[in-house]
Amino acid sequence: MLDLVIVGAGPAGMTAALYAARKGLRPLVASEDLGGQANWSSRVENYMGFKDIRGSELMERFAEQVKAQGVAYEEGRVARVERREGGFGVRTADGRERLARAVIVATGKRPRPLGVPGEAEFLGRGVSYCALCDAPLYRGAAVAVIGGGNAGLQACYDLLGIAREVHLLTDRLTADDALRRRILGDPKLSLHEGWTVRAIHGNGAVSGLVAVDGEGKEKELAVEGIFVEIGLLPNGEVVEEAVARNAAGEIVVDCACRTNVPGLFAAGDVSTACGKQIVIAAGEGAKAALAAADYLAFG
Amino acid sequence: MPEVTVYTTPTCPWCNRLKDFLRARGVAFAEVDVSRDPAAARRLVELTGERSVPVTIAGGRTIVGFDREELERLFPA
Repeated sequence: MLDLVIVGAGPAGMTAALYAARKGLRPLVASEDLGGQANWSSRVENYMGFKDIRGSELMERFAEQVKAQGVAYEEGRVARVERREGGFGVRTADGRERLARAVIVATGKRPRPLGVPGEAEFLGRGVSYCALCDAPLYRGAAVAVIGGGNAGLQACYDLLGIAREVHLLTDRLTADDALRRRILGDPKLSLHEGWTVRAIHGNGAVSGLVAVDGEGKEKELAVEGIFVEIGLLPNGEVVEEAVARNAAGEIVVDCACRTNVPGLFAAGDVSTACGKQIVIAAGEGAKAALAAADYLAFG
Repeated sequence: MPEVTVYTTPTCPWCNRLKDFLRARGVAFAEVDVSRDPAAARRLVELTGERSVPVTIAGGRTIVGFDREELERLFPA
């Protein structure tokens, strides 16, 4: 039986791995990718020590630092973490199971879908959850970004240099002032505050969307691309029902990243830790590893 | 081994994973960066109807995204 399996290798999982290794544990990291959501950020300007760095580059540096500690890594999606005699079983999607005395769940979040007609049908054919990836395929096109948080405005930024016009639809703007100042004055950007998307339509590919404005009036926009940035859902389904979660589906943790199940810890965006930021996730990963080391030493 | 073409953008994390996967399996491929080549971007949309990257075209097959199962079938280890 292993001492510790860390599920997920974003900022929380990788920092947990580093701290666990430095505590003399031999953690195994199981994850479907290295970097997690941080990979999708085109510019990170709020991780201390780096004035401006691409998210994926920052995560490569995390990974290098973890690898230098000789941490074992298994690529593959983890399907389930369940209690077993003396610890936990960590089962990957291909059916293999690893047994560990303690587990840190750091599985992060995934994009929240709009849940409107046409969204699934036109995925990859006009509907995208990654402006950073797909923006170059919308050169000269009219596009819409849904969501007025930091990710939404970042998507606008990625698109403004490429698309002909960018429509930003949001129930309310919540993005940081620094991003608003950079983006909202751009002549190619039209802000539609108070609008809610009702449907996406097209024929083989997206041709437009239907929304309602703040007064309940139906509006149509002719766009070829729709970039959805309305927040995230926690990947908490990986743990069994006995593990406490809040109404949003986040795994409930105390100040040492302990869940209600002894030996099971959660860190970063999948947990109830306040603030979904790379720097916070990294800190939470460190806390979880220290708490797991304590648990393994003293119970 | 069929001729393999991969459409990518440099900022796309899935594109990097796809390229790592192909290299790890010793698959030779031609890469088309659609962010630098607007004509190729149009061609990709016309050919496949897809407006997302990565897209892998190999032996008449089109694989959209980093679809590990499909890729493993096409390029067994």
